[in-house]
Amino acid sequence: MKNKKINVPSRVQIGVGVILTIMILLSACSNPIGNSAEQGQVTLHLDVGSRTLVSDISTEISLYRVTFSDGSGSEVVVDSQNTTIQTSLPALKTYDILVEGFNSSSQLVATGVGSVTIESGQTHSLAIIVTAADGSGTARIEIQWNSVQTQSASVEGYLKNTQNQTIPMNFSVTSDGQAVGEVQVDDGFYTLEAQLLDGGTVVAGFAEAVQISAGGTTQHVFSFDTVNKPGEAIAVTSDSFTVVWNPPEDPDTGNPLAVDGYRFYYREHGTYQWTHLADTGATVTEYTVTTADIPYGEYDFAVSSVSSGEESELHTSYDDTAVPSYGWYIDWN
Amino acid sequence: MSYLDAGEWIITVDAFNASGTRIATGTNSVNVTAGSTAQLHILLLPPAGTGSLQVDVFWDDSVIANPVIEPQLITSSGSSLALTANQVAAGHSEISESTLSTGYYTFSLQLLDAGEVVAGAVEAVRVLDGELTSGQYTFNEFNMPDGDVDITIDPDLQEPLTITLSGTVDSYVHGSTMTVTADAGSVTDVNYTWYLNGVSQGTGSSYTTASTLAPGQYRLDVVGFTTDGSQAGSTTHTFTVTES
Repeated sequence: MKNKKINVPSRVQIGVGVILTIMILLSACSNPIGNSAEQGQVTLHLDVGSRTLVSDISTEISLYRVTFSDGSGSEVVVDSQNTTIQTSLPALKTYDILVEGFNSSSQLVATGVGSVTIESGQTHSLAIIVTAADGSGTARIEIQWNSVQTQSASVEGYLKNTQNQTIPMNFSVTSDGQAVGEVQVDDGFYTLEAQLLDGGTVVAGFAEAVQISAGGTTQHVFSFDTVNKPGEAIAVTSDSFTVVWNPPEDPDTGNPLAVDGYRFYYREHGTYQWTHLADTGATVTEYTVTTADIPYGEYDFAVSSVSSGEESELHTSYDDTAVPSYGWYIDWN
Repeated sequence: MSYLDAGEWIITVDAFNASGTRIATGTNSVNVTAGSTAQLHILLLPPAGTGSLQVDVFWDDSVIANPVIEPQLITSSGSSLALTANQVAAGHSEISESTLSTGYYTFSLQLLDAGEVVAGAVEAVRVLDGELTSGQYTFNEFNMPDGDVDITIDPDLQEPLTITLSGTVDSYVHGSTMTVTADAGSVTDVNYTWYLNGVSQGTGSSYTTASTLAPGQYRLDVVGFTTDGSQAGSTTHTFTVTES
């Protein structure tokens, strides 16, 4: 019987072996069994209420400028902070009316047009609807994630306009765990769809309404604290293999903590129900899996410690403290 | 004059300007006696007859849309003589009268736009016998009558929709489902699209998660667009599917 023993903690490189390390106090394991579902799960700390990503340009209008043009080049300009404007104009002319709305930073944010023919001694009333100023703006989206959870990350994202046309945002990974996408588009509303991929597998994503304003930049940072790790398949062709872990450590001193023993679990990769496989003694921090235990297949593994009759939460091969940190499973055949 | 024969003389005086045009005339009689000198006063007056008048009027036609020229002459007795203005080009009319009695007149000129007087001039005019009296007026400034306009501005800045969710739960057991409904308040013509971890799940005002959804934490997004695409909004809900 061949026994492939892969038991060197952090010194071992990926592909050489598999290590299930317990680098922290088991009772403080960051991934409780309740959340250790298949391939991990996504947690987004973006739990916000209703919102739309909007431009950095304030659309609160503080000044209206109304320009009357008679077609001969002469203009009459009236500024007002109110939405009702009364003025006298030379009669017997037809005026094109341009209404511009400016925010407190004197940025043009809205426009509207109208026309009126002035008659002597008479008052004409008209309503002009002002809408968001036409033009293009920039969408700049930054995505951050915990890079230890990914092996080969990329981001795909695009804006989708009201005609369902997609505009790629061309995200580029600028540093570990960070990608930025930027595109200039016409003003209006869009759907932003983005997915974080690891090795081509979607590990997280989001969708959000985005408003683009002329001359403005709509930007936001999305952070993924936890992603759905696809994990790396560790191919094992021998009849057995050994999974090794580290004992729990005192978080203050880093010294190993005494335990009564360990409980070793497995599950078929792609499922979420753990099955107890074996118990080990207090000083035994490895277990050799053979075909007598489980048949060939794809498996995830987990371990817990037992102290004073109490079992800790599971530490799994998809925890961030596993080696490699982006998760692994055994492809045994 | 010397050496006139004694007797009664009728003396006529005509006055000419430098161009040889007779501009005045007068007649008087005098009785001349031998050896004495007689004195005579002759009043010179413009010669009676008819003369012509021509006035050219110019204005800025880019300002005056519907020009009408109304000219007239008023005699010293106060009676009016109608004149006719003929527009010969854009912004140019000509007033011409060839049989005016000699004398002084009051020339009145009004430029109207759509019935309103926007400019005008009044001037004394003298008509001489057999002569042409001409003038030119150019109007560049106008007294346009005023009118009022009341404008009500209605801002419609397509503010984002406020979308709320109902039916959400923070967690549920694997095998169960969660039905979430989106609502945009008073805006009802909204198309909703649902996303789970960034992957489109379909459209509609409600969405039910699959009972096969694996345990874990999820982000449910809904994006709503009004049917005309003028407004949009989104909201999100994170939830946990537990194993038991």
